[in-house]
Amino acid sequence: MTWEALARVKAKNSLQLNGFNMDNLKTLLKFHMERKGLNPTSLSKKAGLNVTAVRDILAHDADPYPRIDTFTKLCRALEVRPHQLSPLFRDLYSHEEDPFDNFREPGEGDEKHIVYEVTPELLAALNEWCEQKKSGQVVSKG
Amino acid sequence: MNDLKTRLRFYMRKNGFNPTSLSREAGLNATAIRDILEHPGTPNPRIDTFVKICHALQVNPSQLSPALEILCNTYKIPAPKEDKLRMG
Repeated sequence: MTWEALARVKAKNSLQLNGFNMDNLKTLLKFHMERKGLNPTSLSKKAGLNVTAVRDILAHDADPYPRIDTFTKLCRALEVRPHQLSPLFRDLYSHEEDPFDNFREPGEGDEKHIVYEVTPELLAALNEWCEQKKSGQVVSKG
Repeated sequence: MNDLKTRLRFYMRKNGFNPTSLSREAGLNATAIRDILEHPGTPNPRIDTFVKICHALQVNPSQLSPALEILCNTYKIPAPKEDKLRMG
Protein backbone atom coordinates (compact mmCIF):
# COMPACT_ATOMS: atom_id res chain seq x y z
CA MET A 1 0.00 0.00 0.00
CA THR A 2 1.29 3.45 -0.85
CA TRP A 3 1.59 6.31 1.59
CA GLU A 4 -1.23 8.14 -0.28
CA ALA A 5 -3.55 5.16 0.23
CA LEU A 6 -2.66 5.15 3.92
CA ALA A 7 -3.54 8.85 4.11
CA ARG A 8 -6.96 8.02 2.62
CA VAL A 9 -7.48 5.33 5.24
CA LYS A 10 -6.58 7.86 7.92
CA ALA A 11 -9.16 10.29 6.54
CA LYS A 12 -11.78 7.52 6.49
CA ASN A 13 -11.08 6.73 10.12
CA SER A 14 -11.42 10.32 11.26
CA LEU A 15 -13.62 10.18 14.34
CA GLN A 16 -15.00 12.53 16.94
CA LEU A 17 -15.90 11.39 20.44
CA ASN A 18 -16.86 13.66 23.36
CA GLY A 19 -15.04 16.56 21.69
CA PHE A 20 -11.84 14.54 21.23
CA ASN A 21 -10.58 14.28 17.67
CA MET A 22 -9.72 10.60 17.61
CA ASP A 23 -7.57 10.93 14.53
CA ASN A 24 -4.51 12.15 16.33
CA LEU A 25 -2.13 10.57 18.82
CA LYS A 26 -2.06 13.59 21.14
CA THR A 27 -5.84 13.66 21.69
CA LEU A 28 -6.04 9.86 21.92
CA LEU A 29 -3.32 10.01 24.57
CA LYS A 30 -5.29 12.66 26.50
CA PHE A 31 -8.49 10.60 26.11
CA HIS A 32 -6.93 7.43 27.53
CA MET A 33 -5.16 9.38 30.30
CA GLU A 34 -8.49 10.86 31.36
CA ARG A 35 -10.09 7.41 31.25
CA LYS A 36 -7.36 6.00 33.51
CA GLY A 37 -7.18 9.09 35.75
CA LEU A 38 -3.53 9.77 34.97
CA ASN A 39 -1.67 13.03 34.43
CA PRO A 40 1.45 13.43 32.23
CA THR A 41 3.83 12.86 35.16
CA SER A 42 2.03 9.84 36.62
CA LEU A 43 1.70 8.24 33.17
CA SER A 44 5.43 8.78 32.48
CA LYS A 45 6.25 7.11 35.81
CA LYS A 46 3.83 4.23 35.22
CA ALA A 47 5.28 3.65 31.74
CA GLY A 48 8.85 3.75 33.06
CA LEU A 49 9.76 6.75 30.93
CA ASN A 50 11.55 10.00 31.67
CA VAL A 51 9.21 12.14 33.86
CA THR A 52 8.79 14.76 31.13
CA ALA A 53 8.33 12.24 28.26
CA VAL A 54 4.51 12.42 28.10
CA ARG A 55 4.50 16.18 28.58
CA ASP A 56 6.99 16.47 25.69
CA ILE A 57 4.73 14.40 23.41
CA LEU A 58 1.68 16.50 24.33
CA ALA A 59 3.61 19.76 23.88
CA HIS A 60 4.84 18.71 20.42
CA ASP A 61 3.63 21.23 17.84
CA ALA A 62 3.03 18.83 14.95
CA ASP A 63 1.86 15.22 15.05
CA PRO A 64 4.23 13.45 17.45
CA TYR A 65 5.79 10.18 16.27
CA PRO A 66 7.33 8.49 19.31
CA ARG A 67 9.80 5.64 18.87
CA ILE A 68 8.47 2.12 18.98
CA ASP A 69 9.73 1.30 22.52
CA THR A 70 8.26 4.52 23.99
CA PHE A 71 4.99 3.81 22.19
CA THR A 72 4.87 0.21 23.45
CA LYS A 73 5.49 1.35 27.05
CA LEU A 74 2.67 3.93 26.75
CA CYS A 75 0.26 1.29 25.38
CA ARG A 76 1.14 -1.04 28.23
CA ALA A 77 0.70 1.65 30.90
CA LEU A 78 -2.68 2.70 29.43
CA GLU A 79 -3.71 -0.93 28.79
CA VAL A 80 -4.60 -0.28 25.17
CA ARG A 81 -3.70 -1.91 21.88
CA PRO A 82 -1.51 -0.07 19.36
CA HIS A 83 -4.42 0.94 17.09
CA GLN A 84 -6.27 2.39 20.10
CA LEU A 85 -3.48 4.89 20.72
CA SER A 86 -2.25 5.70 17.22
CA PRO A 87 -4.49 6.06 14.15
CA LEU A 88 -1.51 4.94 12.02
CA PHE A 89 -2.01 1.37 13.24
CA ARG A 90 -5.74 1.17 12.49
CA ASP A 91 -5.37 -0.17 8.99
CA LEU A 92 -2.92 -2.89 10.02
CA TYR A 93 -5.36 -4.91 12.11
CA SER A 94 -8.63 -6.58 11.16
CA HIS A 95 -10.16 -4.64 14.08
CA GLU A 96 -9.85 -1.51 11.99
CA GLU A 97 -13.19 -2.36 10.34
CA ASP A 98 -14.98 -1.71 13.63
CA PRO A 99 -14.20 1.92 14.54
CA PHE A 100 -16.00 1.68 17.87
CA ASP A 101 -13.70 -1.13 18.90
CA ASN A 102 -11.25 1.68 19.47
CA PHE A 103 -13.16 2.76 22.55
CA ARG A 104 -13.94 -0.63 24.00
CA GLU A 105 -12.22 -2.01 27.06
CA PRO A 106 -9.60 -4.61 26.08
CA GLY A 107 -10.98 -8.13 26.19
CA GLU A 108 -14.63 -7.10 26.15
CA GLY A 109 -16.47 -8.98 23.38
CA ASP A 110 -13.31 -10.87 22.44
CA GLU A 111 -14.78 -14.03 23.96
CA LYS A 112 -16.45 -15.99 21.17
CA HIS A 113 -18.04 -18.76 23.21
CA ILE A 114 -20.78 -18.17 25.75
CA VAL A 115 -20.74 -20.84 28.41
CA TYR A 116 -23.99 -21.28 30.28
CA GLU A 117 -23.88 -22.67 33.76
CA VAL A 118 -26.02 -25.84 33.81
CA THR A 119 -28.32 -25.39 36.79
CA PRO A 120 -31.11 -27.82 37.87
CA GLU A 121 -33.64 -25.17 36.78
CA LEU A 122 -32.11 -24.94 33.30
CA LEU A 123 -32.02 -28.74 33.02
CA ALA A 124 -35.69 -28.99 34.10
CA ALA A 125 -36.70 -26.30 31.60
CA LEU A 126 -34.81 -28.11 28.81
CA ASN A 127 -36.47 -31.44 29.70
CA GLU A 128 -39.89 -29.80 29.74
CA TRP A 129 -39.21 -28.20 26.34
CA CYS A 130 -38.12 -31.60 24.93
CA GLU A 131 -41.28 -33.26 26.23
CA GLN A 132 -43.47 -30.52 24.70
CA LYS A 133 -41.62 -30.87 21.39
CA LYS A 134 -42.14 -34.66 21.40
CA SER A 135 -45.87 -34.26 22.04
CA GLY A 136 -46.11 -31.68 19.23
CA GLN A 137 -46.90 -28.65 21.41
CA VAL A 138 -43.86 -26.77 20.12
CA VAL A 139 -43.47 -26.25 16.39
CA SER A 140 -39.83 -26.55 15.50
CA LYS A 141 -38.44 -23.77 13.35
CA GLY A 142 -35.55 -25.96 12.26
CA MET B 1 13.28 -14.43 15.17
CA ASN B 2 13.37 -12.51 18.40
CA ASP B 3 14.60 -9.18 17.24
CA LEU B 4 13.37 -6.61 14.80
CA LYS B 5 16.43 -6.78 12.53
CA THR B 6 16.13 -10.58 12.04
CA ARG B 7 12.40 -10.34 11.37
CA LEU B 8 12.90 -7.46 8.94
CA ARG B 9 15.52 -9.47 7.01
CA PHE B 10 13.20 -12.52 7.00
CA TYR B 11 10.23 -10.66 5.48
CA MET B 12 12.46 -8.76 3.05
CA ARG B 13 13.82 -12.05 1.71
CA LYS B 14 10.33 -13.56 1.63
CA ASN B 15 8.92 -10.64 -0.38
CA GLY B 16 11.99 -10.17 -2.59
CA PHE B 17 13.11 -6.76 -1.38
CA ASN B 18 16.58 -5.36 -0.86
CA PRO B 19 17.17 -2.45 1.55
CA THR B 20 16.98 0.17 -1.21
CA SER B 21 13.86 -1.22 -2.93
CA LEU B 22 12.04 -1.59 0.41
CA SER B 23 12.94 1.98 1.38
CA ARG B 24 11.49 3.15 -1.93
CA GLU B 25 8.32 0.99 -1.60
CA ALA B 26 7.74 2.30 1.93
CA GLY B 27 8.27 5.90 0.85
CA LEU B 28 11.27 6.38 3.12
CA ASN B 29 14.72 7.88 2.66
CA ALA B 30 16.82 5.58 0.40
CA THR B 31 19.13 4.56 3.27
CA ALA B 32 16.41 4.20 5.95
CA ILE B 33 16.19 0.39 5.83
CA ARG B 34 19.96 -0.04 5.62
CA ASP B 35 20.31 2.22 8.69
CA ILE B 36 17.91 0.00 10.66
CA LEU B 37 19.66 -3.22 9.59
CA GLU B 38 23.12 -1.84 10.35
CA HIS B 39 22.10 -0.41 13.73
CA PRO B 40 24.63 -1.74 16.25
CA GLY B 41 22.09 -2.35 19.05
CA THR B 42 18.32 -2.85 18.95
CA PRO B 43 16.90 -0.55 16.29
CA ASN B 44 14.10 1.62 17.57
CA PRO B 45 12.38 3.33 14.63
CA ARG B 46 9.68 5.97 14.98
CA ILE B 47 6.11 4.63 14.73
CA ASP B 48 5.46 6.37 11.40
CA THR B 49 8.53 4.71 9.85
CA PHE B 50 7.56 1.38 11.38
CA VAL B 51 3.98 1.51 10.05
CA LYS B 52 5.23 2.42 6.54
CA ILE B 53 7.51 -0.65 6.61
CA CYS B 54 4.61 -2.87 7.78
CA HIS B 55 2.49 -1.67 4.85
CA ALA B 56 5.28 -2.18 2.33
CA LEU B 57 5.95 -5.72 3.58
CA GLN B 58 2.22 -6.42 4.11
CA VAL B 59 2.77 -7.71 7.62
CA ASN B 60 1.01 -7.20 10.91
CA PRO B 61 2.94 -5.03 13.42
CA SER B 62 3.17 -8.04 15.76
CA GLN B 63 4.95 -10.01 13.06
CA LEU B 64 7.66 -7.39 12.75
CA SER B 65 8.15 -6.10 16.29
CA PRO B 66 8.68 -8.52 19.21
CA ALA B 67 7.70 -5.77 21.70
CA LEU B 68 4.36 -5.17 19.99
CA GLU B 69 3.79 -8.91 19.68
CA ILE B 70 4.00 -9.29 23.47
CA LEU B 71 1.72 -6.26 23.95
CA CYS B 72 -0.89 -7.52 21.47
CA ASN B 73 -0.87 -10.99 22.99
CA THR B 74 -1.54 -9.39 26.37
CA TYR B 75 -4.53 -7.47 25.04
CA LYS B 76 -5.80 -10.19 22.66
CA ILE B 77 -5.36 -8.77 19.19
CA PRO B 78 -7.22 -11.04 16.77
CA ALA B 79 -5.37 -12.90 14.05
CA PRO B 80 -4.04 -10.76 11.19
CA LYS B 81 -6.18 -10.28 8.09
CA GLU B 82 -3.92 -12.44 5.97
CA ASP B 83 -2.02 -15.40 7.28
CA LYS B 84 -0.14 -16.10 4.08
CA LEU B 85 2.97 -14.38 5.44
CA ARG B 86 3.12 -16.55 8.53
CA MET B 87 6.65 -17.30 9.68
CA GLY B 88 7.95 -20.71 8.61
